[in-house]
Amino acid sequence: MKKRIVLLLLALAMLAILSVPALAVKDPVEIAVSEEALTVTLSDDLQQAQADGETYVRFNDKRLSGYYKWGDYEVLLTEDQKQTIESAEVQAHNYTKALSVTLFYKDGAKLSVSYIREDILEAYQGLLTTDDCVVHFHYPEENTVKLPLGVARGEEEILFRDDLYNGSRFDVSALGESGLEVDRGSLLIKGEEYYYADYDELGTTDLYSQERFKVWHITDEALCAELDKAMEAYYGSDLGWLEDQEFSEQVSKVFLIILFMVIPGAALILFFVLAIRAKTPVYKKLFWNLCAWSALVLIVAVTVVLVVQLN
Amino acid sequence: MLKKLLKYDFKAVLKIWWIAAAAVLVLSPVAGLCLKVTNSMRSFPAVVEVVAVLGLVLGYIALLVFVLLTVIVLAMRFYKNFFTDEGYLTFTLPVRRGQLLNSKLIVSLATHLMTFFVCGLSILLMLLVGEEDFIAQFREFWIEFWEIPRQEGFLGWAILYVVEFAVILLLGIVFSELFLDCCVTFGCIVAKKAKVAASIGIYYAASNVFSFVLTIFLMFGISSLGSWLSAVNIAETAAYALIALLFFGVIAIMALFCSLLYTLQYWMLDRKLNLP
Repeated sequence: MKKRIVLLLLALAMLAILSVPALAVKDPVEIAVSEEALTVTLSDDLQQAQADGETYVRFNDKRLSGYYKWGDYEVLLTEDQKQTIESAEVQAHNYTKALSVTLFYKDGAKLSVSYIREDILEAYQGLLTTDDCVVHFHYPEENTVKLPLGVARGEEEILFRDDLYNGSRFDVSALGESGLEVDRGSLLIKGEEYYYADYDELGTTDLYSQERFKVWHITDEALCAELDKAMEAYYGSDLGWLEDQEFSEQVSKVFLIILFMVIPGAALILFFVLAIRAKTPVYKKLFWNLCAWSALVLIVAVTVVLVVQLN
Repeated sequence: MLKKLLKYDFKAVLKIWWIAAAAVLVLSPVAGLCLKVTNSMRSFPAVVEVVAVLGLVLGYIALLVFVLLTVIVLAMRFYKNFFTDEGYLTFTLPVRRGQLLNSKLIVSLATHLMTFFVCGLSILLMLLVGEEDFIAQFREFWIEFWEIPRQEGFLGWAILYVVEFAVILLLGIVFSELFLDCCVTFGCIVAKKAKVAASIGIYYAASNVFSFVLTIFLMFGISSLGSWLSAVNIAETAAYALIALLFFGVIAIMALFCSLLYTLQYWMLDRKLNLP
Protein backbone atom coordinates (compact mmCIF):
# COMPACT_ATOMS: atom_id res chain seq x y z
CA MET A 1 0.00 0.00 0.00
CA LYS A 2 2.84 2.35 0.90
CA LYS A 3 4.36 1.87 -2.54
CA ARG A 4 1.10 2.83 -4.22
CA ILE A 5 0.80 5.98 -2.11
CA VAL A 6 4.38 6.95 -2.99
CA LEU A 7 3.64 6.40 -6.69
CA LEU A 8 0.51 8.54 -6.50
CA LEU A 9 2.41 11.29 -4.66
CA LEU A 10 5.08 11.20 -7.37
CA ALA A 11 2.44 11.57 -10.06
CA LEU A 12 0.91 14.53 -8.19
CA ALA A 13 4.35 16.14 -7.81
CA MET A 14 4.84 15.78 -11.56
CA LEU A 15 1.47 17.47 -12.08
CA ALA A 16 2.54 20.43 -9.93
CA ILE A 17 5.93 20.81 -11.65
CA LEU A 18 4.51 20.63 -15.15
CA SER A 19 1.66 23.04 -14.38
CA VAL A 20 4.12 25.92 -13.88
CA PRO A 21 4.87 26.64 -17.57
CA ALA A 22 1.19 26.85 -18.43
CA LEU A 23 0.69 29.61 -15.90
CA ALA A 24 3.54 31.79 -17.20
CA VAL A 25 1.58 33.42 -20.04
CA LYS A 26 2.63 36.63 -21.77
CA ASP A 27 0.69 39.00 -24.03
CA PRO A 28 0.81 38.43 -27.78
CA VAL A 29 3.34 40.66 -29.50
CA GLU A 30 3.02 40.06 -33.21
CA ILE A 31 0.74 39.06 -36.01
CA ALA A 32 1.10 35.39 -36.49
CA VAL A 33 -0.57 32.69 -38.48
CA SER A 34 -1.35 29.84 -36.17
CA GLU A 35 -0.42 26.41 -37.44
CA GLU A 36 -0.54 24.36 -34.29
CA ALA A 37 3.03 24.36 -32.99
CA LEU A 38 4.39 26.20 -36.02
CA THR A 39 4.34 29.99 -36.24
CA VAL A 40 5.01 32.01 -39.37
CA THR A 41 5.55 35.67 -38.66
CA LEU A 42 4.02 38.06 -41.14
CA SER A 43 4.63 41.45 -39.58
CA ASP A 44 7.89 42.41 -41.37
CA ASP A 45 6.66 41.35 -44.77
CA LEU A 46 3.42 43.22 -44.24
CA GLN A 47 5.21 46.45 -43.45
CA GLN A 48 7.46 46.03 -46.49
CA ALA A 49 4.49 45.28 -48.71
CA GLN A 50 2.64 48.34 -47.43
CA ALA A 51 5.68 50.50 -48.05
CA ASP A 52 6.00 49.22 -51.60
CA GLY A 53 2.28 49.75 -52.23
CA GLU A 54 1.87 46.21 -53.53
CA THR A 55 -1.41 44.37 -53.46
CA TYR A 56 0.22 41.14 -52.42
CA VAL A 57 3.62 39.69 -51.74
CA ARG A 58 4.84 36.21 -52.50
CA PHE A 59 6.80 34.90 -49.68
CA ASN A 60 8.62 31.58 -49.64
CA ASP A 61 8.85 29.78 -46.39
CA LYS A 62 10.26 26.29 -46.23
CA ARG A 63 8.67 25.82 -42.84
CA LEU A 64 5.32 25.40 -44.51
CA SER A 65 6.40 22.25 -46.28
CA GLY A 66 5.19 19.03 -44.81
CA TYR A 67 2.61 20.72 -42.64
CA TYR A 68 -0.79 19.13 -42.83
CA LYS A 69 -3.96 20.03 -41.06
CA TRP A 70 -7.63 19.77 -41.85
CA GLY A 71 -8.70 22.91 -40.13
CA ASP A 72 -8.79 26.69 -40.19
CA TYR A 73 -5.86 29.01 -39.80
CA GLU A 74 -6.22 31.87 -37.42
CA VAL A 75 -4.72 35.35 -37.34
CA LEU A 76 -4.00 36.95 -34.00
CA LEU A 77 -3.76 40.74 -33.89
CA THR A 78 -2.10 42.73 -31.14
CA GLU A 79 -3.86 45.64 -29.48
CA ASP A 80 -1.67 48.06 -31.50
CA GLN A 81 -2.52 46.37 -34.74
CA LYS A 82 -6.19 46.41 -33.90
CA GLN A 83 -5.96 50.23 -33.98
CA THR A 84 -5.49 50.13 -37.75
CA ILE A 85 -6.72 46.70 -38.84
CA GLU A 86 -10.43 45.95 -38.81
CA SER A 87 -10.22 42.23 -39.45
CA ALA A 88 -8.12 39.53 -41.00
CA GLU A 89 -9.22 36.59 -43.06
CA VAL A 90 -7.18 33.50 -43.83
CA GLN A 91 -7.81 31.50 -46.95
CA ALA A 92 -5.85 28.34 -47.60
CA HIS A 93 -6.04 26.75 -51.00
CA ASN A 94 -3.76 23.90 -50.17
CA TYR A 95 -2.68 23.42 -46.60
CA THR A 96 0.63 21.85 -47.48
CA LYS A 97 1.65 24.19 -50.26
CA ALA A 98 0.16 27.61 -50.02
CA LEU A 99 -1.78 29.99 -47.85
CA SER A 100 -3.21 33.47 -48.20
CA VAL A 101 -4.06 36.10 -45.58
CA THR A 102 -6.16 39.18 -46.30
CA LEU A 103 -6.08 42.13 -43.92
CA PHE A 104 -8.91 44.67 -43.94
CA TYR A 105 -7.78 48.10 -42.67
CA LYS A 106 -10.07 50.55 -40.97
CA ASP A 107 -9.35 53.20 -43.63
CA GLY A 108 -10.77 50.84 -46.28
CA ALA A 109 -7.42 49.54 -47.56
CA LYS A 110 -7.06 45.84 -48.16
CA LEU A 111 -3.87 43.83 -48.17
CA SER A 112 -3.37 40.22 -49.18
CA VAL A 113 -0.29 38.26 -48.25
CA SER A 114 0.28 34.94 -49.92
CA TYR A 115 2.64 32.15 -49.14
CA ILE A 116 3.69 29.51 -51.56
CA ARG A 117 6.31 26.87 -51.09
CA GLU A 118 9.53 27.59 -52.94
CA ASP A 119 9.64 24.33 -54.91
CA ILE A 120 6.03 24.79 -56.00
CA LEU A 121 6.77 28.35 -57.12
CA GLU A 122 9.78 27.09 -59.09
CA ALA A 123 7.54 24.66 -60.96
CA TYR A 124 5.69 27.66 -62.40
CA GLN A 125 8.81 29.53 -63.48
CA GLY A 126 8.72 30.33 -67.19
CA LEU A 127 4.97 29.90 -67.53
CA LEU A 128 3.52 33.13 -68.83
CA THR A 129 -0.25 32.89 -68.67
CA THR A 130 -2.72 31.54 -66.15
CA ASP A 131 -3.73 29.05 -68.87
CA ASP A 132 -0.34 27.39 -68.46
CA CYS A 133 -0.62 24.68 -65.86
CA VAL A 134 1.52 22.27 -63.93
CA VAL A 135 0.85 18.58 -63.28
CA HIS A 136 1.70 17.45 -59.79
CA PHE A 137 2.87 13.88 -59.50
CA HIS A 138 2.66 13.52 -55.77
CA TYR A 139 3.66 10.55 -53.61
CA PRO A 140 6.04 8.83 -53.30
CA GLU A 141 8.04 11.87 -54.41
CA GLU A 142 6.90 15.21 -55.65
CA ASN A 143 7.54 15.74 -59.31
CA THR A 144 6.04 18.32 -61.64
CA VAL A 145 5.65 18.80 -65.40
CA LYS A 146 4.58 22.01 -67.12
CA LEU A 147 1.35 21.48 -69.04
CA PRO A 148 0.36 24.37 -71.34
CA LEU A 149 -3.38 23.81 -71.85
CA GLY A 150 -3.26 25.07 -75.44
CA VAL A 151 -0.97 22.15 -76.28
CA ALA A 152 -2.73 19.66 -73.99
CA ARG A 153 -6.06 20.12 -75.79
CA GLY A 154 -5.54 17.57 -78.57
CA GLU A 155 -8.48 15.46 -79.72
CA GLU A 156 -11.83 15.47 -77.99
CA GLU A 157 -12.88 12.07 -76.58
CA ILE A 158 -15.24 10.56 -74.01
CA LEU A 159 -14.01 8.58 -71.00
CA PHE A 160 -16.05 6.59 -68.49
CA ARG A 161 -15.95 6.32 -64.71
CA ASP A 162 -14.40 2.85 -64.93
CA ASP A 163 -11.46 4.41 -66.78
CA LEU A 164 -10.73 6.41 -63.63
CA TYR A 165 -10.61 3.26 -61.51
CA ASN A 166 -8.45 1.42 -64.00
CA GLY A 167 -6.03 4.29 -64.63
CA SER A 168 -4.26 7.07 -62.76
CA ARG A 169 -5.29 10.65 -62.05
CA PHE A 170 -3.10 13.63 -61.15
CA ASP A 171 -3.99 17.25 -60.32
CA VAL A 172 -3.40 19.94 -62.93
CA SER A 173 -3.06 23.38 -61.32
CA ALA A 174 -2.41 26.96 -62.35
CA LEU A 175 -1.03 29.84 -60.34
CA GLY A 176 -3.95 32.16 -59.67
CA GLU A 177 -3.77 35.93 -59.38
CA SER A 178 -3.73 35.84 -55.60
CA GLY A 179 -0.54 33.81 -55.74
CA LEU A 180 -2.27 30.60 -54.75
CA GLU A 181 -2.62 27.48 -56.82
CA VAL A 182 -5.97 26.78 -58.41
CA ASP A 183 -6.95 23.33 -59.64
CA ARG A 184 -7.89 23.57 -63.30
CA GLY A 185 -8.34 19.93 -64.17
CA SER A 186 -6.94 16.43 -64.06
CA LEU A 187 -4.38 14.53 -66.04
CA LEU A 188 -5.72 11.05 -66.65
CA ILE A 189 -3.58 8.12 -67.70
CA LYS A 190 -5.22 5.15 -69.38
CA GLY A 191 -2.78 2.53 -70.60
CA GLU A 192 -0.03 4.56 -72.23
CA GLU A 193 -2.29 7.42 -73.31
CA TYR A 194 -2.62 10.81 -71.59
CA TYR A 195 -5.87 12.77 -71.32
CA TYR A 196 -6.72 16.17 -69.89
CA ALA A 197 -10.10 16.76 -68.20
CA ASP A 198 -10.95 20.44 -67.69
CA TYR A 199 -13.05 21.27 -64.61
CA ASP A 200 -14.50 24.45 -66.15
CA GLU A 201 -15.66 22.57 -69.22
CA LEU A 202 -17.14 19.75 -67.14
CA GLY A 203 -18.67 22.04 -64.52
CA THR A 204 -17.38 19.90 -61.67
CA THR A 205 -14.16 19.03 -59.90
CA ASP A 206 -15.38 15.57 -58.93
CA LEU A 207 -14.81 13.35 -61.95
CA TYR A 208 -15.90 10.28 -60.00
CA SER A 209 -19.43 11.67 -59.81
CA GLN A 210 -19.73 11.54 -63.65
CA GLU A 211 -20.74 8.37 -65.44
CA ARG A 212 -19.04 9.65 -68.63
CA PHE A 213 -17.20 12.87 -69.29
CA LYS A 214 -15.44 14.77 -72.04
CA VAL A 215 -11.63 14.82 -72.10
CA TRP A 216 -8.85 16.05 -74.36
CA HIS A 217 -6.56 13.32 -75.68
CA ILE A 218 -3.01 14.71 -75.46
CA THR A 219 -1.41 14.07 -78.84
CA ASP A 220 1.52 16.50 -78.81
CA GLU A 221 4.61 14.26 -79.08
CA ALA A 222 6.98 16.55 -77.18
CA LEU A 223 4.54 16.92 -74.28
CA CYS A 224 3.83 13.15 -74.22
CA ALA A 225 7.59 12.45 -74.14
CA GLU A 226 7.98 14.83 -71.23
CA LEU A 227 5.10 13.18 -69.38
CA ASP A 228 6.60 9.74 -70.11
CA LYS A 229 9.88 10.90 -68.61
CA ALA A 230 8.17 12.25 -65.51
CA MET A 231 6.15 9.06 -65.09
CA GLU A 232 9.31 6.97 -65.35
CA ALA A 233 10.90 9.09 -62.63
CA TYR A 234 7.68 8.81 -60.61
CA TYR A 235 7.54 5.00 -60.77
CA GLY A 236 11.34 4.68 -60.69
CA SER A 237 11.38 6.21 -57.23
CA ASP A 238 9.29 3.36 -55.91
CA LEU A 239 8.80 -0.33 -56.62
CA GLY A 240 7.11 0.36 -59.97
CA TRP A 241 5.51 -3.05 -60.37
CA LEU A 242 3.86 -2.69 -57.01
CA GLU A 243 2.06 0.34 -58.34
CA ASP A 244 0.75 -1.67 -61.28
CA GLN A 245 -2.97 -1.85 -60.51
CA GLU A 246 -3.65 -4.93 -62.64
CA PHE A 247 -0.84 -6.96 -61.07
CA SER A 248 -1.85 -5.80 -57.61
CA GLU A 249 -5.46 -6.83 -58.24
CA GLN A 250 -4.42 -10.31 -59.36
CA VAL A 251 -2.25 -10.83 -56.28
CA SER A 252 -5.05 -9.45 -54.14
CA LYS A 253 -7.52 -11.95 -55.60
CA VAL A 254 -5.12 -14.83 -54.90
CA PHE A 255 -4.75 -13.67 -51.29
CA LEU A 256 -8.49 -13.30 -50.86
CA ILE A 257 -9.10 -16.76 -52.32
CA ILE A 258 -6.50 -18.29 -49.98
CA LEU A 259 -7.84 -16.44 -46.94
CA PHE A 260 -11.57 -16.86 -47.51
CA MET A 261 -11.74 -20.14 -49.42
CA VAL A 262 -8.61 -22.32 -49.23
CA ILE A 263 -7.91 -21.92 -45.49
CA PRO A 264 -11.56 -22.31 -44.34
CA GLY A 265 -12.08 -25.16 -46.83
CA ALA A 266 -9.03 -27.05 -45.56
CA ALA A 267 -10.01 -26.27 -41.95
CA LEU A 268 -13.54 -27.57 -42.55
CA ILE A 269 -12.30 -30.91 -43.91
CA LEU A 270 -9.59 -31.33 -41.26
CA PHE A 271 -11.75 -30.47 -38.26
CA PHE A 272 -14.72 -32.42 -39.59
CA VAL A 273 -12.55 -35.55 -39.60
CA LEU A 274 -11.10 -34.70 -36.17
CA ALA A 275 -14.57 -34.01 -34.73
CA ILE A 276 -15.83 -37.40 -35.88
CA ARG A 277 -12.74 -39.21 -34.57
CA ALA A 278 -12.51 -37.29 -31.26
CA LYS A 279 -13.28 -39.45 -28.25
CA THR A 280 -13.71 -36.87 -25.51
CA PRO A 281 -16.77 -34.54 -25.53
CA VAL A 282 -14.61 -31.44 -24.97
CA TYR A 283 -12.56 -32.02 -28.12
CA LYS A 284 -15.66 -32.95 -30.09
CA LYS A 285 -17.19 -29.62 -29.04
CA LEU A 286 -14.03 -27.66 -29.91
CA PHE A 287 -13.66 -29.28 -33.35
CA TRP A 288 -17.36 -28.89 -34.24
CA ASN A 289 -17.03 -25.24 -33.25
CA LEU A 290 -14.11 -24.86 -35.69
CA CYS A 291 -16.13 -26.65 -38.38
CA ALA A 292 -19.00 -24.22 -37.87
CA TRP A 293 -16.79 -21.13 -38.21
CA SER A 294 -15.02 -22.54 -41.30
CA ALA A 295 -18.38 -23.29 -42.90
CA LEU A 296 -19.65 -19.80 -42.09
CA VAL A 297 -16.59 -18.19 -43.74
CA LEU A 298 -17.11 -20.37 -46.83
CA ILE A 299 -20.81 -19.46 -46.98
CA VAL A 300 -20.02 -15.73 -46.77
CA ALA A 301 -17.30 -16.05 -49.45
CA VAL A 302 -19.60 -17.95 -51.81
CA THR A 303 -22.41 -15.42 -51.19
CA VAL A 304 -20.09 -12.51 -52.06
CA VAL A 305 -19.01 -14.22 -55.28
CA LEU A 306 -22.64 -14.98 -56.17
CA VAL A 307 -23.78 -11.40 -55.46
CA VAL A 308 -21.03 -10.03 -57.70
CA GLN A 309 -21.58 -12.58 -60.48
CA LEU A 310 -25.39 -12.32 -60.50
CA ASN A 311 -25.21 -8.52 -60.74
CA MET B 1 -16.48 -21.79 -9.95
CA LEU B 2 -15.77 -19.56 -12.92
CA LYS B 3 -16.85 -16.61 -10.79
CA LYS B 4 -14.17 -17.43 -8.22
CA LEU B 5 -11.53 -17.82 -10.90
CA LEU B 6 -12.54 -14.47 -12.36
CA LYS B 7 -12.39 -12.85 -8.93
CA TYR B 8 -8.82 -13.98 -8.27
CA ASP B 9 -7.63 -13.25 -11.81
CA PHE B 10 -9.09 -9.74 -11.68
CA LYS B 11 -7.58 -9.18 -8.25
CA ALA B 12 -4.11 -10.24 -9.45
CA VAL B 13 -4.22 -8.06 -12.56
CA LEU B 14 -5.92 -4.96 -11.19
CA LYS B 15 -3.65 -4.54 -8.15
CA ILE B 16 -0.97 -3.21 -10.53
CA TRP B 17 -3.15 -1.97 -13.35
CA TRP B 18 -5.08 0.62 -11.33
CA ILE B 19 -1.89 2.46 -10.30
CA ALA B 20 -0.87 2.87 -13.94
CA ALA B 21 -4.42 3.92 -14.87
CA ALA B 22 -4.48 6.52 -12.10
CA ALA B 23 -1.05 7.85 -13.12
CA VAL B 24 -2.16 8.20 -16.75
CA LEU B 25 -5.35 9.99 -15.77
CA VAL B 26 -3.43 12.34 -13.48
CA LEU B 27 -0.84 13.08 -16.16
CA SER B 28 -3.34 13.78 -18.92
CA PRO B 29 -4.47 17.26 -17.73
CA VAL B 30 -0.78 18.09 -17.24
CA ALA B 31 -0.04 17.03 -20.79
CA GLY B 32 -3.08 19.11 -21.81
CA LEU B 33 -1.58 22.20 -20.17
CA CYS B 34 1.71 21.52 -21.96
CA LEU B 35 -0.20 21.15 -25.22
CA LYS B 36 -1.80 24.51 -24.53
CA VAL B 37 1.63 26.08 -24.12
CA THR B 38 3.05 24.54 -27.30
CA ASN B 39 -0.10 25.52 -29.25
CA SER B 40 -0.11 29.04 -27.95
CA MET B 41 0.83 32.01 -30.13
CA ARG B 42 2.25 33.76 -27.13
CA SER B 43 5.98 33.69 -26.61
CA PHE B 44 7.42 31.96 -23.57
CA PRO B 45 10.93 31.71 -22.18
CA ALA B 46 12.86 28.89 -23.88
CA VAL B 47 13.00 26.86 -20.64
CA VAL B 48 9.23 26.93 -20.31
CA GLU B 49 8.77 25.77 -23.90
CA VAL B 50 11.27 22.95 -23.45
CA VAL B 51 9.54 21.81 -20.26
CA ALA B 52 6.18 21.99 -22.04
CA VAL B 53 7.40 19.83 -24.92
CA LEU B 54 8.94 17.37 -22.46
CA GLY B 55 5.68 17.26 -20.52
CA LEU B 56 3.79 16.52 -23.73
CA VAL B 57 6.22 13.76 -24.65
CA LEU B 58 5.87 12.37 -21.12
CA GLY B 59 2.10 12.29 -21.55
CA TYR B 60 2.38 10.30 -24.79
CA ILE B 61 4.99 7.95 -23.31
CA ALA B 62 2.77 7.38 -20.26
CA LEU B 63 -0.03 6.24 -22.55
CA LEU B 64 2.27 3.87 -24.42
CA VAL B 65 3.73 2.48 -21.22
CA PHE B 66 0.24 1.99 -19.81
CA VAL B 67 -0.86 -0.07 -22.84
CA LEU B 68 2.38 -2.07 -22.74
CA LEU B 69 2.07 -2.60 -19.00
CA THR B 70 -1.43 -4.00 -19.43
CA VAL B 71 -0.13 -6.58 -21.91
CA ILE B 72 2.82 -7.50 -19.66
CA VAL B 73 0.69 -7.77 -16.49
CA LEU B 74 -1.78 -10.07 -18.25
CA ALA B 75 0.99 -12.22 -19.74
CA MET B 76 2.75 -12.46 -16.36
CA ARG B 77 -0.48 -13.48 -14.63
CA PHE B 78 -1.01 -16.15 -17.28
CA TYR B 79 2.57 -17.42 -16.93
CA LYS B 80 2.72 -17.40 -13.13
CA ASN B 81 -0.70 -18.93 -12.67
CA PHE B 82 -0.09 -21.79 -15.12
CA PHE B 83 3.63 -22.48 -15.46
CA THR B 84 5.36 -21.74 -12.14
CA ASP B 85 4.88 -23.54 -8.81
CA GLU B 86 1.50 -21.86 -8.60
CA GLY B 87 0.54 -24.02 -11.60
CA TYR B 88 0.40 -27.14 -9.41
CA LEU B 89 -2.30 -25.51 -7.34
CA THR B 90 -4.12 -24.07 -10.37
CA PHE B 91 -4.36 -27.39 -12.17
CA THR B 92 -5.51 -29.26 -9.06
CA LEU B 93 -8.46 -26.94 -8.55
CA PRO B 94 -11.80 -28.64 -9.13
CA VAL B 95 -12.38 -26.81 -12.42
CA ARG B 96 -12.16 -27.78 -16.06
CA ARG B 97 -9.28 -26.62 -18.27
CA GLY B 98 -11.81 -24.69 -20.33
CA GLN B 99 -12.93 -22.69 -17.29
CA LEU B 100 -9.32 -21.78 -16.49
CA LEU B 101 -8.80 -20.58 -20.05
CA ASN B 102 -12.15 -18.77 -20.19
CA SER B 103 -11.37 -16.94 -16.98
CA LYS B 104 -8.04 -15.71 -18.35
CA LEU B 105 -9.66 -14.69 -21.62
CA ILE B 106 -12.54 -12.80 -20.01
CA VAL B 107 -10.19 -10.96 -17.66
CA SER B 108 -7.86 -10.09 -20.56
CA LEU B 109 -10.71 -8.79 -22.70
CA ALA B 110 -12.17 -6.76 -19.83
CA THR B 111 -8.76 -5.31 -18.87
CA HIS B 112 -7.98 -4.38 -22.48
CA LEU B 113 -11.37 -2.68 -22.79
CA MET B 114 -10.78 -0.80 -19.55
CA THR B 115 -7.34 0.23 -20.82
CA PHE B 116 -8.95 1.41 -24.05
CA PHE B 117 -11.49 3.40 -22.04
CA VAL B 118 -8.85 4.96 -19.77
CA CYS B 119 -6.68 5.89 -22.77
CA GLY B 120 -9.69 7.46 -24.49
CA LEU B 121 -10.60 9.36 -21.35
CA SER B 122 -7.01 10.49 -20.91
CA ILE B 123 -6.77 11.79 -24.50
CA LEU B 124 -10.15 13.49 -24.05
CA LEU B 125 -8.96 15.21 -20.87
CA MET B 126 -5.73 16.26 -22.55
CA LEU B 127 -7.59 17.79 -25.51
CA LEU B 128 -10.22 19.43 -23.32
CA VAL B 129 -7.48 21.23 -21.40
CA GLY B 130 -5.06 21.77 -24.29
CA GLU B 131 -7.22 22.56 -27.32
CA GLU B 132 -9.42 25.61 -27.46
CA ASP B 133 -12.94 24.96 -28.72
CA PHE B 134 -12.31 21.22 -28.60
CA ILE B 135 -15.95 20.46 -27.78
CA ALA B 136 -17.15 22.62 -30.69
CA GLN B 137 -14.63 20.98 -33.04
CA PHE B 138 -15.60 17.52 -31.88
CA ARG B 139 -19.29 18.31 -32.28
CA GLU B 140 -18.60 19.57 -35.81
CA PHE B 141 -16.62 16.41 -36.62
CA TRP B 142 -19.36 14.21 -35.20
CA ILE B 143 -22.07 15.97 -37.23
CA GLU B 144 -19.97 15.80 -40.40
CA PHE B 145 -19.15 12.13 -39.75
CA TRP B 146 -22.84 11.20 -39.90
CA GLU B 147 -23.83 13.91 -42.39
CA ILE B 148 -22.47 12.11 -45.48
CA PRO B 149 -24.30 8.81 -44.81
CA ARG B 150 -27.44 10.79 -43.97
CA GLN B 151 -27.25 12.84 -47.18
CA GLU B 152 -26.42 9.83 -49.32
CA GLY B 153 -29.19 7.80 -47.69
CA PHE B 154 -27.15 4.98 -46.18
CA LEU B 155 -27.30 5.95 -42.53
CA GLY B 156 -28.66 2.53 -41.52
CA TRP B 157 -25.83 0.80 -43.34
CA ALA B 158 -23.27 3.16 -41.75
CA ILE B 159 -24.54 2.23 -38.27
CA LEU B 160 -24.24 -1.45 -39.20
CA TYR B 161 -20.66 -0.87 -40.44
CA VAL B 162 -19.75 0.83 -37.14
CA VAL B 163 -21.20 -2.10 -35.17
CA GLU B 164 -19.32 -4.60 -37.37
CA PHE B 165 -16.15 -2.58 -36.96
CA ALA B 166 -16.57 -2.66 -33.16
CA VAL B 167 -16.97 -6.45 -33.28
CA ILE B 168 -13.82 -6.69 -35.44
CA LEU B 169 -11.93 -4.62 -32.84
CA LEU B 170 -13.14 -6.88 -30.01
CA LEU B 171 -12.12 -9.98 -31.94
CA GLY B 172 -8.77 -8.31 -32.66
CA ILE B 173 -8.20 -7.95 -28.90
CA VAL B 174 -9.22 -11.58 -28.29
CA PHE B 175 -6.98 -12.76 -31.14
CA SER B 176 -3.92 -10.84 -29.92
CA GLU B 177 -4.42 -12.13 -26.37
CA LEU B 178 -4.84 -15.74 -27.51
CA PHE B 179 -1.82 -15.36 -29.79
CA LEU B 180 0.33 -14.12 -26.90
CA ASP B 181 -0.96 -16.82 -24.53
CA CYS B 182 -0.34 -19.53 -27.13
CA CYS B 183 3.26 -18.35 -27.56
CA VAL B 184 3.78 -18.32 -23.77
CA THR B 185 2.28 -21.81 -23.47
CA PHE B 186 4.37 -23.14 -26.34
CA GLY B 187 7.53 -21.51 -24.93
CA CYS B 188 6.92 -23.03 -21.49
CA ILE B 189 6.27 -26.48 -22.94
CA VAL B 190 9.30 -26.68 -25.24
CA ALA B 191 11.89 -25.01 -22.96
CA LYS B 192 13.33 -26.85 -19.99
CA LYS B 193 14.99 -23.73 -18.60
CA ALA B 194 14.59 -19.97 -19.18
CA LYS B 195 10.94 -20.40 -20.04
CA VAL B 196 10.18 -16.68 -20.02
CA ALA B 197 13.00 -15.96 -22.48
CA ALA B 198 11.81 -18.81 -24.72
CA SER B 199 8.24 -17.48 -24.63
CA ILE B 200 9.38 -13.97 -25.51
CA GLY B 201 11.53 -15.33 -28.36
CA ILE B 202 8.69 -17.43 -29.75
CA TYR B 203 6.25 -14.51 -29.48
CA TYR B 204 8.72 -12.19 -31.22
CA ALA B 205 9.33 -14.65 -34.06
CA ALA B 206 5.67 -15.60 -34.49
CA SER B 207 4.43 -12.01 -34.39
CA ASN B 208 7.06 -11.01 -36.97
CA VAL B 209 5.94 -13.76 -39.33
CA PHE B 210 2.29 -12.82 -38.76
CA SER B 211 3.02 -9.10 -39.33
CA PHE B 212 4.91 -9.91 -42.52
CA VAL B 213 2.01 -11.91 -43.94
CA LEU B 214 -0.50 -9.29 -42.83
CA THR B 215 1.56 -6.44 -44.34
CA ILE B 216 1.80 -8.23 -47.68
CA PHE B 217 -1.92 -8.85 -47.62
CA LEU B 218 -2.72 -5.25 -46.73
CA MET B 219 -0.29 -3.94 -49.34
CA PHE B 220 -1.98 -5.88 -52.11
CA GLY B 221 -5.35 -6.58 -50.64
CA ILE B 222 -7.05 -3.50 -49.30
CA SER B 223 -6.47 -0.93 -52.06
CA SER B 224 -7.20 -3.45 -54.80
CA LEU B 225 -10.25 -4.68 -52.96
CA GLY B 226 -11.45 -1.07 -52.78
CA SER B 227 -10.98 -0.45 -56.48
CA TRP B 228 -12.46 -3.85 -57.32
CA LEU B 229 -15.55 -3.06 -55.25
CA SER B 230 -15.86 0.39 -56.85
CA ALA B 231 -15.59 -1.13 -60.31
CA VAL B 232 -18.26 -3.79 -59.63
CA ASN B 233 -21.32 -2.51 -61.43
CA ILE B 234 -24.17 -3.33 -59.06
CA ALA B 235 -27.16 -1.51 -57.62
CA GLU B 236 -26.47 0.89 -54.76
CA THR B 237 -28.31 -1.13 -52.08
CA ALA B 238 -26.59 -4.32 -53.23
CA ALA B 239 -23.22 -2.55 -52.95
CA TYR B 240 -23.96 -1.49 -49.35
CA ALA B 241 -25.04 -5.04 -48.54
CA LEU B 242 -21.90 -6.39 -50.19
CA ILE B 243 -19.67 -4.21 -48.00
CA ALA B 244 -21.60 -5.32 -44.88
CA LEU B 245 -21.20 -8.92 -46.02
CA LEU B 246 -17.47 -8.45 -46.50
CA PHE B 247 -17.14 -7.04 -42.99
CA PHE B 248 -19.13 -10.03 -41.76
CA GLY B 249 -16.70 -12.29 -43.64
CA VAL B 250 -13.83 -10.63 -41.81
CA ILE B 251 -15.65 -11.20 -38.49
CA ALA B 252 -16.19 -14.87 -39.36
CA ILE B 253 -12.57 -15.45 -40.38
CA MET B 254 -11.30 -13.72 -37.25
CA ALA B 255 -13.62 -15.86 -35.13
CA LEU B 256 -12.27 -18.93 -36.94
CA PHE B 257 -8.67 -17.96 -36.15
CA CYS B 258 -9.57 -17.19 -32.52
CA SER B 259 -11.24 -20.60 -32.19
CA LEU B 260 -8.22 -22.21 -33.77
CA LEU B 261 -5.86 -20.58 -31.26
CA TYR B 262 -8.19 -21.43 -28.38
CA THR B 263 -8.31 -25.09 -29.41
CA LEU B 264 -4.56 -25.21 -29.87
CA GLN B 265 -3.99 -23.69 -26.46
CA TYR B 266 -6.48 -26.04 -24.82
CA TRP B 267 -4.76 -29.01 -26.44
CA MET B 268 -1.30 -27.84 -25.32
CA LEU B 269 -2.46 -27.32 -21.72
CA ASP B 270 -4.39 -30.57 -21.68
CA ARG B 271 -1.95 -32.93 -23.38
CA LYS B 272 1.50 -31.36 -23.43
CA LEU B 273 1.83 -29.61 -20.10
CA ASN B 274 4.72 -30.86 -17.99
CA LEU B 275 5.26 -28.67 -14.95
CA PRO B 276 8.77 -28.67 -13.40
